[in-house]
Amino acid sequence: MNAVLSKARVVLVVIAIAVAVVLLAYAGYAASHVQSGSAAGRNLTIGDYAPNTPFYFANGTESNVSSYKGKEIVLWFVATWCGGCAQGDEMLNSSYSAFKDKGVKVIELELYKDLGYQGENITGFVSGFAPQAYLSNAVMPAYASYNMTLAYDPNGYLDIYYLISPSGRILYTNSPLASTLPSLLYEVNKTV
Amino acid sequence: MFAAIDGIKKVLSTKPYAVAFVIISILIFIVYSVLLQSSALNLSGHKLVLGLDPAALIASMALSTMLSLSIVLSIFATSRSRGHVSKMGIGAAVTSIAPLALCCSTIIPSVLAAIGMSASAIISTAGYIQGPLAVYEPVLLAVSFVLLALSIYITSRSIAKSGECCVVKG
Repeated sequence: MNAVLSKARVVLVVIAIAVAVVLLAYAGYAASHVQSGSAAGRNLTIGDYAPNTPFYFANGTESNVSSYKGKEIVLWFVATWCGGCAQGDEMLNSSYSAFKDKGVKVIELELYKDLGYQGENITGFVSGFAPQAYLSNAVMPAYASYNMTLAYDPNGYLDIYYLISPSGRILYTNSPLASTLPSLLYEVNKTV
Repeated sequence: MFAAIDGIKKVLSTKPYAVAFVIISILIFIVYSVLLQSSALNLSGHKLVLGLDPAALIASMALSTMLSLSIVLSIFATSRSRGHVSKMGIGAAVTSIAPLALCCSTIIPSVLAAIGMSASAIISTAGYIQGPLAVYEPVLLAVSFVLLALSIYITSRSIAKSGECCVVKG
């Protein structure tokens, strides 16, 4: 009787763990795919005009999205304490020439005040994890203003990016960069 | 130490527990291998398998093996006496999974949105929760290893010492 109970308990625990694994895997999948239209705010989607909001380069120079009209750019929003964002930089470092050859600038923007928990500065982050991309000017570190963070990332998600056409429309958006870089490169090759 | 090894041998020499150990190890390895992909341990750039660096792969294998062993030992102990599931094992699962699952995913911002926080509140507070989990992730993983080792040691020693009648503490 005891042995039967023991076996049943083992089977139940294995089933419970299997269910937990499936739920965790689903949560991970759902978490890695940015959803639009949550309670906090609606994410921008393909076809929307990219809001003209200000951002700042490390030397303090102010710029804005519309100043890049006529060029295709990628706006990538990161927090400098985020491991996945660092991996995205590592991936960019090995494939930055694909962007450079097409004349596409990647502007890597630190979300406003790193979403409330200040990590290292964005220049150190980019030059540390993507040194060649940084030195070649293919990836430009910058700080997103409060209005820019609110407009492009109202849900406070990490590691989301937008490919913006020369006319200022959003051509493609996804997250996270490290695992979706091939799709982004495909879109860049398709559109430029 | 030898008593603990005897306890582990005793449990894993029982077929249902050995099978459960293998199955649970594989399932937990799947979870850790996914979660550790965006970990600070996975930044060396030399991916071996499943998109994992050597450090992340070793951590995935070690954590899944130890957590699985802790679970199987706890089931064995509770099925044979009034012993209870090791709190240290549960603590280790929490300290290892929480930073990996919560630091850089959309879970925290989504929860904040679900409880009614506005966009401006989320973008200024999500980092307070996610940032420390990301920064202290290696420390929390180290704590997990220590808790798992202690949990396995205490449970297996109790099993070995008390024979069929074991009382598990921890």
